[in-house]
Amino acid sequence: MTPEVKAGPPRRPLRTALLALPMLLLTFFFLTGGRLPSDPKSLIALVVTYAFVNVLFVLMIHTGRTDRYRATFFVIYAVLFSVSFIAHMIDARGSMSIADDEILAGRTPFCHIVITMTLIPAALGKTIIFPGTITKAYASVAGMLVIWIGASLALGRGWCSWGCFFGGWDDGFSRLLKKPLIRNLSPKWSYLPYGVLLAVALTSAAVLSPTYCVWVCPFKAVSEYVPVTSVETLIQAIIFITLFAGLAVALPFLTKRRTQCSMLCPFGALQSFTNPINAFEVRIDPAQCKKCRLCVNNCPTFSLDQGSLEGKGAGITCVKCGKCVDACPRGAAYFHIRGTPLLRSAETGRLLFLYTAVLFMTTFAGGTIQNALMRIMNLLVTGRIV
Amino acid sequence: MALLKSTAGYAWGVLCILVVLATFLGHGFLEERFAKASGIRIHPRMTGGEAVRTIERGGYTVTLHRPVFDGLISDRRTGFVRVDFTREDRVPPVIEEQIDWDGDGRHDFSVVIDTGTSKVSLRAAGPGVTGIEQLYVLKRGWAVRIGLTRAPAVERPAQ
Repeated sequence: MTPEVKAGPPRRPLRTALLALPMLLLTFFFLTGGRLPSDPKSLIALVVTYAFVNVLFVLMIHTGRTDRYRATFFVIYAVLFSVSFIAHMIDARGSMSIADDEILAGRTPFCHIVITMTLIPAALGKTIIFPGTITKAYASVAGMLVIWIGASLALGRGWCSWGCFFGGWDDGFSRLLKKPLIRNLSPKWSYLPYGVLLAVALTSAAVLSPTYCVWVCPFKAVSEYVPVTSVETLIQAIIFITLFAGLAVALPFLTKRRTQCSMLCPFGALQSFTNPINAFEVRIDPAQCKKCRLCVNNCPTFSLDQGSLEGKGAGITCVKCGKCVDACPRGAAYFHIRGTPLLRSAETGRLLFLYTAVLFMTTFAGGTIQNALMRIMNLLVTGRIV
Repeated sequence: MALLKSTAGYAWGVLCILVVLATFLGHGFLEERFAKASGIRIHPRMTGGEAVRTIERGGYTVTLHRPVFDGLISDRRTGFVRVDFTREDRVPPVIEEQIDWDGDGRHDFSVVIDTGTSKVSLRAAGPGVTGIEQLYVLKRGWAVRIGLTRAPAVERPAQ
């Protein structure tokens, strides 16, 4: 018989401190690189980032809650990423648009979503159809591919809740209302990203150009874009802004779902295939579950259904955000490591997952957050962000 | 068996932490190794092909790139040739440059640039030149991609 587990009381402070200590040391090492900066602004940015990450981690450990603290980090990261990235573009190019010089010099930053478009040409011809740089550059192709492989092995589609610098936008807007205004959004929409993935992979290979970046990507609205100089570029700009406003702002706000991530993003679809080969998964214990469907209704990516409640676990689109785990009043939803005993290993599973995920998030995002904080301090002190 | 599976499961969980550490600690090394081992490179349609000839004109320099017909696996019938014009201190108001892209000794097209307005026009002098595919206005000049179509191979009569 499975023991009954409910969302337990907070841990004792000493136990929390002991469990968090390795993270405190690891994040210190990764954020500082072993030495403290001498510049006061850099030091402030470092201290704030370090404190921010670790306070959230300690709260995760102490309270047993995951999603609310993860989301705090994730949403702030998305906003600060845009601050840092746009400021970097203005620094390097004078504007947030991609200058022709940069495209010809192969200095366009390579983002993870481009991977979906480069897979076929890379597999068939060892070529990357993107005007970037292979190594030793800001967001280089090989650098991003290495991070993607690492993220896939460590987190699977957990990337979409713990690593993606865009996901925080629709995650954030999906949290503004207490209850959704649109409830009957069909889960069938979650199949659409697979169609988008197939379409962009094939069209990109056919025309040898990253079609999603050129024509679809909603996040061009908060990162970089080609300047509007023709009817074609005007249409592209309208598409980017409309999709961002619709899928990353309006629909998440109205439905409380991450609609851009679950209904459009081709990278999310690709990343779903890495979930079955990942150690961590979300399971629901049928013996504990009272079929209240709180988890199903709370899942931002339509990854839970009746089958999940009957013990099949979350679907492959699960982003491991922990929202269902937090929502379940009986502790029936939990992080699980494949191969380990169900439910009894829940705490260890969650702890190992949190270490993996928070460490990834901190290391990947830490530099960007510090950079954004420094630029904000610059703005406050000098009136200039660059 | 259950114990073995369980032990392997926890080891896998711990391994995930090590993967994260390795990904970031060894990022520079892994990036280099990955690039070398996979042999990936940027597609010539993105780079514009390697520069093959540079001509000093006094006031500006012309750089001709190799024609790009590269496809996914094999060459395509349509492609382009990229020509860069780098301005120097005393660039003339109008640049007119005759280009022989296939190296047969005859010019195939002329590119005319109004250096004041950056307006570019093309005069084709032979078959296979389809038009201006892309114009890049750069800080130090212009780059033009001229669309090309390869003439179909002449078939030999059967012996």
